[in-house]
Amino acid sequence: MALDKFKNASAEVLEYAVPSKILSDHALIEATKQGDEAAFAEIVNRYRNPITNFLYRFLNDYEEAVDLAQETFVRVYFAIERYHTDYAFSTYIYRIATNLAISEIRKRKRRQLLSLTGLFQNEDESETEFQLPDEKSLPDEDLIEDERNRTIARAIAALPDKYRAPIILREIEDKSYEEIAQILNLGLGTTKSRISRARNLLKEKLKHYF
Amino acid sequence: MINKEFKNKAEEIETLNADDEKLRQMLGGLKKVGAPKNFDFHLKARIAGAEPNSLRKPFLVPWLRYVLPLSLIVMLAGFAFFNLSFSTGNQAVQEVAAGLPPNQNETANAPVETPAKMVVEEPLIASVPANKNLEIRTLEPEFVRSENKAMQNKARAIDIENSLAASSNKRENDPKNNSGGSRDITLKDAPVLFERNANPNSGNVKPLNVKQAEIPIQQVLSQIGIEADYTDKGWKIVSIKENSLAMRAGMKAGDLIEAIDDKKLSSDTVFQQAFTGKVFRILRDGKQIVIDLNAK
Repeated sequence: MALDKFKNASAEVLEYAVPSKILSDHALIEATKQGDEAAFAEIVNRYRNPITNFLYRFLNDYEEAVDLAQETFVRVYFAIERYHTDYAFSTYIYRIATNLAISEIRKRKRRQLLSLTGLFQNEDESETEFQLPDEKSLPDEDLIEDERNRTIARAIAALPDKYRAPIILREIEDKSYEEIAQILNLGLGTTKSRISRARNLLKEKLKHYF
Repeated sequence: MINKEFKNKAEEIETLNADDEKLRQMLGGLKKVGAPKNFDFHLKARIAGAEPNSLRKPFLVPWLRYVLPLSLIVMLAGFAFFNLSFSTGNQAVQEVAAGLPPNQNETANAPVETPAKMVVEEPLIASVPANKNLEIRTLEPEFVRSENKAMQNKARAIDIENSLAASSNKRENDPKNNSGGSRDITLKDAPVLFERNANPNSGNVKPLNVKQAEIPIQQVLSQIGIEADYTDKGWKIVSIKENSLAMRAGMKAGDLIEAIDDKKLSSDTVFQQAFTGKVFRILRDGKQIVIDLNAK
C-alpha cells in the first residue's frame, strides 16, 4: 500500500466497523455521508501523515502544519455533502490543504513578523541566531534533521508560493503532473513550467551541494 | 490498493539532467514527518466544537476591511462634488432667472436709444382693454423694450386694418394694385404705450392712458397719406402720398375735408380711442362729394 512508506510506528490503530477489505476513498466518503464515523476515521488515518508532511514542507513550521492539517480535515468533514467524485479524493484534500497553506503564508506577510535573530546580539555586536526553546516534544528523532536537510527545507520555504506547492507535490509527495495540475487548478503546461522553474531556483539556492 | 496517482507517476517518462536528478534525490531524501499522537483526539474535539457555519469565514470580512472605507470615501467625495457643482449651477440659474445681464445696473438708467431701423411713430390707436394694468415699467431690458416697441407698432394698425378689411381685400386681389405690403396682426393686447422719444425707465414718464387716447386730426390724415392745412372751412389737402389709402379712395390734392363721419372738423379736432372714420365729406371745386374709405 502506498502509505506503507510512512514509518510512523506510533500511529494509532483505529478499530472501525468497516469490513477488513480495503475500501476506496470514494466508498469511505459515501459511508461517511451515511453517518459512518468510522469511515471518516479511516480517511483521517490515510491522509493525516501525508497532509501534515506536505504542510510542514510548505510552511517549515511543524505546529502550524499540524494545525492546518486538522483544519483541512474539519473542512472535509463539514463539506462532505458537497464532495463530488469527479476528482480523486486525494486531489480534493490536497487542494484544501494547499489553499490553507497559501492563506497562512499571506497572513504571515501581512503580520510582518519581526525577525528574532536581529534582536539578540553579542557584545561584539555580532548577531546570534536565536533559537526558540522547543518546549513541546516533537514526534520522534525523525524530526531531527541534519544541516543539509535544514538548508534544503529553508530553500524550499524561501520559494515563491506558486513554485513551492508544485515542487513539493512533485518531488516530496510524488504526485503526477496531471494530479498536481488538478490540485492547483492549473494547466498541465503551466504546472510543468512552474516545476521546472522551481528546480532551477532550488539548484541556485543549493548550488553548494552540487 | 495501488494508488492510481502513484501508478501514473511511475508511468511517466521524465528525462532529467544530472542536476535535476540529484535535486530530486535530495528532496526525496528529506525525512517525512507525520501527525502527532493526539492528532485524532484534537481533531474530534475540533469537529465537535466547530459549527458548520463558523468554518466559513465571513466572505465579506476581508472585503469590508478595505471596501467599506473606500466606498465611504468615494461617497463623501461624490457628495461634496455634486454639492459644489449644484451650488454653482443654482447661482447661475438664479442670475438667468432674474433676467439681468451682468451690467444691468449700468444700463438701467441709460437713455433709451431707438434703434436705427425701428420706426417710432405716435401711438394712433388704443386697443388695450379696460382692465389692462398700465403701470410704468422702469427696469426693462433692452431687448424687451425693443420688443414692446415692435408690438406697439403692430398694435396700432389693428383697428385700421380691421375696418378696412373688406375694401382692402378687394384691392389686394387686384393684380393692378401694387400697394403690396404686409399685414401685421397681433393676437396679444397692445403693450404699454409711451409718448415719442420718452424714456420709460427715467421714472418721470408716465405711460399714455390709452383708455382716453386722443388722436389729433392731423395724425389721422397723415396715417391715410394726407398732408393738409387747416382753413376756415376745413382741412385742405396739400398733397397725397402715392398709393396711400387716401389716393386709392379717390381723394386729391386741393380737396377740402369738411367732416368725417358727419363730424365737422376744426383745427383741433381729436378723435377718442380708436379711429374708425369711414366717410369723408369733401368739398371739391365747389361741390360736395362723399368718399367712403371702405367703399373703394
